[in-house]
Amino acid sequence: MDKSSSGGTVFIVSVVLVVGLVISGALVPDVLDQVTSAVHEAILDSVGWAYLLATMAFLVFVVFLAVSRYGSIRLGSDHEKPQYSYFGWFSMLFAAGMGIGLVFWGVAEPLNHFHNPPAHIAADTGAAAEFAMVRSFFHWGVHPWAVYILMSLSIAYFSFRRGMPPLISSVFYPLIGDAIYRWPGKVIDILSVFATVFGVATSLGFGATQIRGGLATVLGVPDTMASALIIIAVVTVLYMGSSMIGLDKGIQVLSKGNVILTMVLMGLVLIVGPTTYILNVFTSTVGGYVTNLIDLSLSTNPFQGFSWTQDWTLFYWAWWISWSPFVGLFVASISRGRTIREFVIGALLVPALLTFFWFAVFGGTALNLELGGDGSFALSQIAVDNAPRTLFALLEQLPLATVLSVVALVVLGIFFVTSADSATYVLGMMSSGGSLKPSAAKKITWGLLQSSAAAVLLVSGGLGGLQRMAIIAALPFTLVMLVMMRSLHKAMHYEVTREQPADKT
Amino acid sequence: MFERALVPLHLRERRPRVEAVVALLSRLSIHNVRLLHVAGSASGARRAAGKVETMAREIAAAVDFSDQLTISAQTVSGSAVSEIIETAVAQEADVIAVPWKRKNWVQRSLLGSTSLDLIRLADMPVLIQKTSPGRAPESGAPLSVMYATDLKQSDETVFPLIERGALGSIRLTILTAGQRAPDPVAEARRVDAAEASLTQLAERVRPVVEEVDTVVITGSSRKAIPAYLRWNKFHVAIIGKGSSGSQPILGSTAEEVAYRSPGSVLIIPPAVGGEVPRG
Repeated sequence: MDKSSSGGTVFIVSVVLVVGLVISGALVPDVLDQVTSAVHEAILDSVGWAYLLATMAFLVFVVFLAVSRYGSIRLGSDHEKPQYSYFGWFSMLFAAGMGIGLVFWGVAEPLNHFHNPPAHIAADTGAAAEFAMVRSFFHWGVHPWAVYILMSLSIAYFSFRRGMPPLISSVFYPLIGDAIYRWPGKVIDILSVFATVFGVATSLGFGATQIRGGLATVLGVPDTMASALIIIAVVTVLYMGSSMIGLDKGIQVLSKGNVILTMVLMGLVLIVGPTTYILNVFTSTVGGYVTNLIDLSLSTNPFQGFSWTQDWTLFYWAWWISWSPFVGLFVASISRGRTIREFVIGALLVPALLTFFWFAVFGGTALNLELGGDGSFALSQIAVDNAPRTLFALLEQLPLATVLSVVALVVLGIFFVTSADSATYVLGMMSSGGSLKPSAAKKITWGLLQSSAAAVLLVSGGLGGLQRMAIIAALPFTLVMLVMMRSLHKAMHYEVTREQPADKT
Repeated sequence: MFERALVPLHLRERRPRVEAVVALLSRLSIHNVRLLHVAGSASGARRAAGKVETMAREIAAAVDFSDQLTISAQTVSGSAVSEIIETAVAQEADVIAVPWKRKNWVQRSLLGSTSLDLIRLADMPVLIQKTSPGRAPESGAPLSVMYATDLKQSDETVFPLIERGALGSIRLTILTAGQRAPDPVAEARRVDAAEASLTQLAERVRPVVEEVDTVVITGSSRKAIPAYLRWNKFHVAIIGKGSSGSQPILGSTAEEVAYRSPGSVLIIPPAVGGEVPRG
């Protein structure tokens, strides 16, 4: 059966669902908020532990793939060369996987943990600072990338190696066969579109508030709703333009440029900030992270601090899983020609190291100011009360504040554009039966829909509800990903045991 | 041809179940059936000897093909499974035939299962008889037999039996189960290759078998073969006993098929010392 024939159903059902939920979020945001809060809390309360176990299983599985005989399988034909250079690949990986969120939380998260740690740790102390950094590394380290890698590796293997459409449903062929073309496959693809649109829309909404905070700090632009809406409109025009140019020229050029700018920003803060302190923070936090990796990975803290774990770790794990269809499909589409070993090691270590360094530079600088300050912990208070402004509040305390803030704004803006651009591309793919060149009409539809969703819900106050909706989708997706592991292993085992010996004869 | 069979039984065994085993054996060209009771002690064996002899006589009188069969009885003492195997070897039996008594997982875990232990430990064919007397094959009609092949080593041991007509008059379905390939093109290639192999096997037995069908199914053989047998009734399913990496933990496919199949199952072990089972 022609897989593209299912694209229409997925597109129509997804659009109707998304529009319906956005309208309900706009008209009755309180109801959406209450319902999603109740479901979200019930899920984290009762099966939060399953997110930890599942994510750990994903990490172990992808590492196993890299070191096992499957590691030499190429995501493409046997002699295919990678489509993008290492730098282009890493840049796009980083921009899609972390980008805007990292800029948002790079300062705000360590300060939040520092100021509001679990009850058994004294707030605003050295112990709280150490806890804050290790936890930030943990939340943004190898685990989210393991989730992304499993998803993207599965899609890339079945698309480029096995010649199937780059859709999440394709991954399940070894288990359910032709049923991937019927309702089970469509449900999976619709769920993917659903999680992607809502994940990206909330990210865009929150990103817009951060840019607005930056503009207010640097240019004195009024910190109003109108400013946020104008920002969303401008960014929409930019990413729609980039999206029309295509993957090679649009996203790749922007991502490469932005990673260079990110390095420049980190380098400048490293130089003008407490350099030795930052390097000490980086070194000791990497040590603490690696030493405690297993404990961190599997601890829900049932005896002390469960609600903290629920609010942060479990929330993140659900968030990464809900984000994985988007990142997975995008990363798959840029990873053709790489071996599984190269893919896993590259995607697991390089973005994680860059993220660690980002946290050490920005979180370390902020903690240095807080621990050595007058005891008011003003920066931490901003992080708790107004997270979008924290980065700019920190930069204001450093030499070259204006230059740093402008660079940060540009970085934020470009990450905003690349996230939305790649999401538009991925949504187009998902709703076109896996076409690597989705039509402009579909890209425009999704682009406008996700920006409209972000804008409408920002105004109505339904953004939090929408974010929880995306996270609720993580629960079925966790099951989908566990089954995906089995399916991928089954397919690779078949290839290695049944096809490769035959090929060698 | 199969000629001699050993049928282990305990004293509480219902006679119709043993008769069903003997009737099925007679359809498989067996001429000599020995009923064996393994008692826990020598004195128990002495006490049981008379009862087993009586049961042998009664069965001989009851079974249709008794004129072609010699039914004898023997009582020994010791551990059931090892005594059965030792006796079968000593008597040069061609097959050990056991009436099946279904046990659930808890019963199997706590009490064990002599039938499944025999499948695992015996180096000779084991027939697990499951067909109830009321559903036994009609006299004179060919037995419907399904042979589940792995298209590898089991063909070397099992197929010669069929080719030589060791199973008597049969309608044969040759089936193979395989894991689905990772994509539709590879899957079509897998199915084509399997069908071609089955067709070759079918051609080999056509001279001695009345009807031959071939079937390719998708899935793990542990699950797919019992599922196929649930929906398609055969008098006897034949499966080769191989070895796999997961066998010590999960048990062999043969054990699984024997346990799950609604009909009788004949399990053929790998050739011992390069020899195929006599037949």
